[in-house]
Order: sequence, then structure tokens, then C-alpha cells
Amino acid sequence: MPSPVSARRVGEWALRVISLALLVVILMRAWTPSSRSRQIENAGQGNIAASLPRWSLVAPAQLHLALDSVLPRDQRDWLAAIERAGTNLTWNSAHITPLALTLTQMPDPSGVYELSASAPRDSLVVVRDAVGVLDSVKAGGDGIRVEIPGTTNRAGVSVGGSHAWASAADTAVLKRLLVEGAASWETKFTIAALAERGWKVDAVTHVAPGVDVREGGPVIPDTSRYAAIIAVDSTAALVSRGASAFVRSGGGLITLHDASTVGPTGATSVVLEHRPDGDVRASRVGAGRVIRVGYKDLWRQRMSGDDSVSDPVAAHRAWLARAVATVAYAPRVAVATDSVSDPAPLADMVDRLGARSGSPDAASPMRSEVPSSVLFGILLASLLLELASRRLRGAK
Amino acid sequence: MTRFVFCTGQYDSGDWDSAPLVPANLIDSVAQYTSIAVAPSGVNVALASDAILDYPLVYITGHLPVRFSAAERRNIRKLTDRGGMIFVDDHNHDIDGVFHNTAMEEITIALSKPVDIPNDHELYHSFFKFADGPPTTSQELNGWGDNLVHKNLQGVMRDGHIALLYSSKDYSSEWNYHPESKRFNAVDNTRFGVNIIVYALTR
Repeated sequence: MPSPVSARRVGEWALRVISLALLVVILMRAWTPSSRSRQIENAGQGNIAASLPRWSLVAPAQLHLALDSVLPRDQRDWLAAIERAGTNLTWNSAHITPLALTLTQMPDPSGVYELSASAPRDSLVVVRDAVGVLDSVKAGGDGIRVEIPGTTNRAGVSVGGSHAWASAADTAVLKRLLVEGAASWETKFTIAALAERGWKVDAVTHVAPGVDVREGGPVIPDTSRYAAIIAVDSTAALVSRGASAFVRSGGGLITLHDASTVGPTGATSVVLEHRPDGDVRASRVGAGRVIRVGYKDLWRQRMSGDDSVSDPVAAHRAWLARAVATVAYAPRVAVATDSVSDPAPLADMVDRLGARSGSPDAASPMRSEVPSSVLFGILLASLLLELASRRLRGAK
Repeated sequence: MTRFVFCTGQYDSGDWDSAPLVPANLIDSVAQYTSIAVAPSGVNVALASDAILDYPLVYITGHLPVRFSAAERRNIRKLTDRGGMIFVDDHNHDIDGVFHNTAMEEITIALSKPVDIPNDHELYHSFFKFADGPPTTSQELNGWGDNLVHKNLQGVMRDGHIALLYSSKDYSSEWNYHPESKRFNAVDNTRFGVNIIVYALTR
């Protein structure tokens, strides 16, 4: 058991160490300018850009931002850095609309992209690309989904003052198409529409026993050559023979009305479109997809369509191209995304700066910091206590 | 499968029905030589009617002056712009005749001036092979009409395809007989008609 004198010496040493530590803390505070000026700041959206350099030099203890819209990405980065340096940052806004979008190049030689965006239900979403405004669409329960021309690989959406931009992360490698059918208007105009759309089409048109009109090269269905094969009618024997293996290995098969028995069908199918004269059904078989078109005489859409409503030739072309894009085997190659891409700005801001808080008062409490004067008082007290202890036990 | 229907175009001016047996004769040949699903009888449809757009191959012939109405011109443009084809045959076999002169004027107004089709064009081997280009007709060889053997057919082209085929050879007279009478021919003279139909259906 230690003697009372040795315990007292240990206590005196402890008081010396405490005094020394407090002295170091007080000196460090004195030498750190920001510490002298730590304060609470409130800023509106308009002041942030001008204040950022100042906050970087003299970081406020607490910073509260009242925002009208999502901050630009560079400001989010800057504020995140300030927060990591010790500032307690909070923000709130009554106006920010959450937006997020993805941009995917469709397997279509016309270069169209599919833009899918989430936005509040019933909000008017303005769609634009790098050139300008393309369209405005009212959002449904699951946002919007639109096809946009492939002028650039970047597109954006806006709702009120909120904006989001995205660029396509990859590009589709397009292979050829194979079309087979008897000599008929359906076969002719199917080939024509797909070729006009920009697809490279290998075609086999049966004219008479042993007499075919062939365009393009080999016609063995294989995903190394073809993205999709299209059977126009029941004479499509070449397609029929290779369809099952082709689809199971990832290729796409489209059968038109008169080819409903050609090729495999998945166990379950979904209705993509419905008209009084039939359905368009899609199913998955192995790694590939099958679309069965129940509409009779698609070619009439092109020849007899009403041009007072829209261009019937373009409509027929676009309809077939969409069907092909739905099933086409198109390997993807990653491309560099551009630096202005900001596909989910609010989510990114929450990730960097934390969730919005109601007001500065409701913000998370500041780190408690004991004033230097109190520390100095404790320092003096511990020194006096240590001195008194030594004198009372007779030491110097 | 929807069958191919042979369509004769009716126009308000002139005599559009001057060769009434041609459709049956060509339908018979298509059925005989090919596996194309073909309707057993043809139809006559007014060029001015939108129903003409249901028939992407339209046959037009006549002897008399042709003056297309605005609606007829509009539908000729629509049909060819959308990928259809029109076959016009001068039933007079006379390049100084009224049908030729007026039909050429109307075609030029509606589409553009027809140009000579080279005799190695795929039209001449779309089914049967015609190494020398368009087959001659007995009207040409007998010196009727303009007393000429026309070396070429003419056409208005769209994206490399024949949108309008024009013949001064008078196939309308050559093919205007009952199909049963083919048995008297050493060589079926409607074979080139099969080429025109197969070309229209496959190119």
C-alpha cells in the first residue's frame, strides 16, 4: 500500500501535467487565427459563391444555408470540404424539387437515346439536350420516359429552378438484322423501313420454289453477326431453323402476324401494346427476347396512314425500330462521362452535405468548446494546488 | 398471308380501261411461275381515292389524252413517296400520240421527267432473265404506232428504286388476251409482266 506522501507526489505530478496540457491548448488557440474568429453564419443562395473563399480562410463554427435550389456541383464540393474542416454545416429549403435521370443509347442506328427521369407526379418536366429545349412532359407516378435524338450524348431535365444533367455511360454496338419472308408488301416494307432507319439488313425474300431474292451476306442466325432476326411469315424457314439457339444465346426475334408459329416463346409473356386487331407480346427465352406482333398488315400503316396526323412512313419506320430496339442484342462499350454530368443533384447534395434540417436552431448541436479564460483559470488553480501541496508537505 | 392484288388505276380523263384482260393475264402468270400469294382477280381503283394507297403497285394505260386532277396527282406523289410503284404503258405505241405526250407532261408535273432505264437494270433479271433489256412487242415489230422499236423503258427513280415505270412498247396490247390463250404462244409473252410485279414486291 503506497504511503500518503508518495500518493501526494503522484497527485502533484498529475497537476503539473494538467497544467502543462492546458498551457499548450491555450497557446495553440492563441496561435490559430480561425479559432479566434469562429462564429455562426447564415447565408442565402445568392451569397454563397462570394462567401466561399472567406469561409475557407476563416471557417465559421456553424454555417446555415437557406437554399432556393440545389447548389452547383463545385459549390457542393467546396462546402463539403469546409464541413470536413470542422464547420457544422446545415441547410434547408422549401423549394428544391428532387430530380434524377438516366440516359441510355438505344440499339438503333438513328442514335436515339432513352431518357428516364424521376420527378414529382404531375410536375411539368422540361427536357433538353446540349443544343436546346426538346420537349416538355407531364410526369406520371413513375416519372417520365422519352426518346430523344442522338445529337449529343448529354441531356437534362428541369422542373422549375431545379436541373439535372446526365450523359450516357456507354454506347451500343450495332450488328446487322436478318429479315425473311415471302415476296409480299409486308416483307418489302419491313426491309425498307429498317434499312431507311439505318440498319444493315440481310434479307431473304422467297419468290418461287428455289428462287429467292437475297440481300447481304450469310443468313445463319448468329449473335456474332445479327442483333435480331425478323420472321415476316411462315415461309421463314432459315430463321425458324436457327431461331431457338439464336435467342437463347442473347439474340432478338420478332415474328410478324403471319409468322406466329416461328421460333421459341417464353413461358410467360407481357403485353407491350394492345389494339383491337391484336397484341404485341414480349417474352424472354434464355438470354434473348422474343416479340410477337399480332397486328396484321403493318405495311398499311406506311402506305395508307393518314399524313394529316403524322408522317406515316416515319411512323412505320419508328414503330419497327422500337420493336427491334426492344429485343436487339447490342453489346455495350463504356464511354467517358463528361464532367458536367449531374444526374441526381439533390441526392448528391444530401450525400455531401447531409440531409436538410428545419432551421439553424434545429440543427445538430455544435461541438462544445470551453472558453480559453476558463481553461486559464483551471491552469492557475492546478498550479496553485500543486504549489500548496508541495509547501504543506515541506518541499520546495 | 395478305395476297398481292393487281390494281388498275382509274383516272377521270381518257380511257383507263382500254386493256381489260391484262390484269387477269398477269395474275395468271404470277400464280403459274411464282409462289407469291396472289388474289385471283384484280381491282380497279380511282387514282383520286385514298384507297389507291392500299395497292402499292398500280397499272395505268390508255389511248386518249391524260389529264390528272389535283387529287390524282397528290395520290401519285403519296404512293411513290411511300415506296409504291406505278407502271404506265402507252397503249398507242406512239411517241407522237396523245397519250404519250399528255402522260409524260402529267408525270413530269406530278413527279419528275422520266429518264431511260439502263437495259442491265435489275428489273430485267428480277425473275426471268432479259439480257437485252425490255422484250419487244408485236406492235413494235409490225411497225404499228410510231414504227419504232424502243430500246429502253423509262422511269422516275426514288432512292435507287423505280418509282414510276413508263413503257412506250404497248405491253397493254401485247398482254390483252385471255390467259387460256397462252397455250398457243411458243414463249409466254407475259413473263416480263412477272418481272415487273416481282420487282415491285421485292425491291
